[in-house]
Amino acid sequence: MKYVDEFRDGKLARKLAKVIAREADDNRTYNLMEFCGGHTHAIFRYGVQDLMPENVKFVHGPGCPVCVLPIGRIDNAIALVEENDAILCTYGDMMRVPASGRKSLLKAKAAGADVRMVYSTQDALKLAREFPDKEVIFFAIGFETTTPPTAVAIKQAQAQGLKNFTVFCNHVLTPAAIQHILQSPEVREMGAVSIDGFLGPSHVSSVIGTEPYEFFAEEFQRPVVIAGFEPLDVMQSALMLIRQLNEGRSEVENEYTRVVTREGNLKAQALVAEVFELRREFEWRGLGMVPYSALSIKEEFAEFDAEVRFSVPKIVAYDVKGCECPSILRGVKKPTDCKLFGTVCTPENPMGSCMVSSEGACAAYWSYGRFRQPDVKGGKVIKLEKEAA
Amino acid sequence: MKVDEYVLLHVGYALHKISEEEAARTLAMFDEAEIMEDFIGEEVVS
Repeated sequence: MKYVDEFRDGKLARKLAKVIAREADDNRTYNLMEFCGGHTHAIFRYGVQDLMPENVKFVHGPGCPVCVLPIGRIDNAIALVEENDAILCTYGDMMRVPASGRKSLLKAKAAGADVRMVYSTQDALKLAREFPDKEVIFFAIGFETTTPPTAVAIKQAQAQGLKNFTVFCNHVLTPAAIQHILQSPEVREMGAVSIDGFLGPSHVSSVIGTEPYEFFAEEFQRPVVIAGFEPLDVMQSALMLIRQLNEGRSEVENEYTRVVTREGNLKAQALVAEVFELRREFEWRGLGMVPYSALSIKEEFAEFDAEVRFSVPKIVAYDVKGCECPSILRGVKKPTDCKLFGTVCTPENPMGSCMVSSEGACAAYWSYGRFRQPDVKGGKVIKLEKEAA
Repeated sequence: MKVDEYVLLHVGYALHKISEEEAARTLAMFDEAEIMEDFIGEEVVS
């Protein structure tokens, strides 16, 4: 496919790897956090980590939309559909994320609740038109990429005079989360996690542009390179970060220029600003309460806000005992550090959110088997020493 | 938008047009690696 295949060329990847090995300084390490789950997925699918020298390490960030939603909000969604005899629509990954009491939206559906998977907010609007006597609730999740489509749906629902369509809004913001990570004691006190630079989001940046990253590149003295999602993009961006670090620069650079501009998609930004406003704070799995990190629906669109129309209590819920998703989302631990990983927790039967979505670090580790050593002890899965370290 | 142009699609919506010109420029940047690698291959240190 055009714009895809040429960015996956294996021969070029090996050449880029040589240049990276050449330019990376042996006397230091480069801990590069890829914020986005899409990058985590690409790194594992194409074995990009294996092409890097030992001292260039990818630290997996929290940019997996399904992973960061706290369990309490999934409990809310299950209650919304069960208590209001409604149709609840959401994106596919969300259906399987474990909620409290071993429930999930998929299990609620199996028990009779009308939960439907949609590919687009347009599908949810269509359901609202098809079933005028039913409440249709769209369980909206995701970063700046999925927010404009939700705004479009709310505007359309208003224009079409739909009275049975609401949105349970859980949209979150990337820059706030990155800043929160940089301000966390784990990073600041140079203890558990060290981050030297960031591979910036691809699709998110196509909407918000590169400008929002300029503040913390400067403030926290960490370079950011906006990186495309293909393996060569990831490698080239890593090289650009290594060069910045070698030269002592902390700038925002853009490798993904074929899609990302400095100002982003202004039309999408205007739509989002019209429909949504900032929440004072929002809970993220792994990060806790993050100030001004999420959006709620503005009062003028309150009739489309599920949190206004229905009762949505604040639920404090906990991850399954032993699940390391919170630490993995902060980059403090790796999936292989979790006792549940690959034992009771697999993509077929996920215990935590990071094993559900293909963008989750645990699912990426598991699916591409890069934590396994070739058949050493009768095919038994064993951890590589460098992974366990 | 015109036929034969490409967009980045996400959950059914086009987020951004893909710039053919910029894509070519990025690919050219990878080619620099190729040139550099040839350079390194000859063990020439600048």
